[in-house]
Amino acid sequence: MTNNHNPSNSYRSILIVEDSHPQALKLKMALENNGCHVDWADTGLGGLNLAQEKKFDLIVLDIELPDINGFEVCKRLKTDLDLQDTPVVMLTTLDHAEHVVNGLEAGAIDYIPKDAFAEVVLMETIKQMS
Amino acid sequence: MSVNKICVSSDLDVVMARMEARKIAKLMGFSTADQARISLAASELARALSWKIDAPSELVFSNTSQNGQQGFQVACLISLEYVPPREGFDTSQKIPIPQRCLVGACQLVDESIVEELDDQQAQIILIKWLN
Repeated sequence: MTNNHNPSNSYRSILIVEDSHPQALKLKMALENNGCHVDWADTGLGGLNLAQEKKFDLIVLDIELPDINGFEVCKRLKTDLDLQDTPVVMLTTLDHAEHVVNGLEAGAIDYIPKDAFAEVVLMETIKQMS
Repeated sequence: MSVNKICVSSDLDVVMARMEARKIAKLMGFSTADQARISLAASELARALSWKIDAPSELVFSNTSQNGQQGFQVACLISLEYVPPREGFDTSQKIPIPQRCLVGACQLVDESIVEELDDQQAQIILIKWLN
């Protein structure tokens, strides 16, 4: 088995908020192969609850969620004194400029379109956080 | 003035453009949100360039200044057919992807300059100022 473990990502604890189970699983595996510990919520409110229960180094947030959307989740995280310093990256199919601007204004540090290279870009973002 | 060039001939180069733009923006001292805007603008421009590759295209990153203010500049030459029409889009039609990428890139920066060079090509310059 190939070991993709990257020491720069070691011990990073990441929360994925993604309602698509196949996409969440794919992302979880990619992150774990790079030495991250990953938790996953499939709703916005579920993600907020997990974020309140446990300290994460990064939250990867989809926008189109079944209950509250990712912009709202991000806004709520950024108004919570205990959570506002946790970096949020939005990973989504909504790639129009206005969505990007909305995401960044809601407090996300990056906005990654879901394309063939989304995982590569996310890994690079995590590396740059180190 | 430092200049970095990225040759765009594939989808992977779009990712490279994004990463390089972010790296430079971070070095220049842009906030994380502005680093994201700059890297996305660069990747959108690269995505427009990579749409139909007749010959490899180039993105040129550089720093610029005006009245003592520092800025990040990304420039390229692009086929005139990808430049959005001055009169705007016909909203009843689907906007072609390269034009949508260009419009998106322009919305993410402070200044966008589109100059028609001839009947084939236009030069695009995007600038984000350091606050």
